[in-house]
Amino acid sequence: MAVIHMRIDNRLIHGQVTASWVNALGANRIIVTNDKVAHDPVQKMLLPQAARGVPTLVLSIADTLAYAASEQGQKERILVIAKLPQDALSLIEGGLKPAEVNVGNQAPTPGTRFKMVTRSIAVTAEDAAIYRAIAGKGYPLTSKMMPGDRQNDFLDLLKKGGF
Amino acid sequence: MIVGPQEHFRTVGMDPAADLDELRDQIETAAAAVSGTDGTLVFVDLMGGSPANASSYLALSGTPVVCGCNLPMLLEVLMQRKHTSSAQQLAEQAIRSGRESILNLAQMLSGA
Repeated sequence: MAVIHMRIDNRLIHGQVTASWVNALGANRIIVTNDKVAHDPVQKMLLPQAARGVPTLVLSIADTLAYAASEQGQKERILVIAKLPQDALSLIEGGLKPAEVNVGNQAPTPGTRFKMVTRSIAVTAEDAAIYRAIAGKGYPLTSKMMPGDRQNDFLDLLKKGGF
Repeated sequence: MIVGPQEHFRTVGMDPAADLDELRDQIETAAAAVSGTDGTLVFVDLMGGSPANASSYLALSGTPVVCGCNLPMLLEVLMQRKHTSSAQQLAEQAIRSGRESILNLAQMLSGA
């Protein structure tokens, strides 16, 4: 089955958001993907606990790709949480085929020229290009905080934000 | 409103668009600012939430971080802290009183 959903969220695993998605999707594995986080021993210890019982791996982009393609990975229903849009694009360019791509939280980076396209998603021109590249590879983007939220097209939100 | 204005007490609110590193910074700055001689005690809403994640580096260096904060717990701590000289002990009291304060009033009143 492999990657049933990819969420782009710089808050990684947090509170009820992750739990709700895991339940709605019937996921039995979470992979948090980001090269820096994968080398942070505190995060590697903490994130699986924050996942409250769902088997969780904290991996680099390369290791995420390897796991998803592995025999074990193929048997699981995996929720991939990519920290940054660039992580998501790298995964897709590396061959990951998520069934859905959802844009969650992105905090503004101080010093950049960003715009909040939703209450919790900051976008710069560079980010917009990355999101378009993801969509261009055949992965429509939605931005639902919770599973029950209305489906939308993230590219429309980018346009409304002037990107 | 209940126990009056407090000293050596800080709150850190969180934005929906919070950045974990920034939040960690804000929490650690606040913790350093309130720190007296007997240490610091941190309360967060729930384990696994961003405030808890951001407090985890403090927790690893020995600061008690109590998750699942409720109002009775907080009141107990604010009233007891002048009588306690250990943040760790205060944390244990907080957890006890937090748990003890969860009840069903209907059952309590019916003598059940």
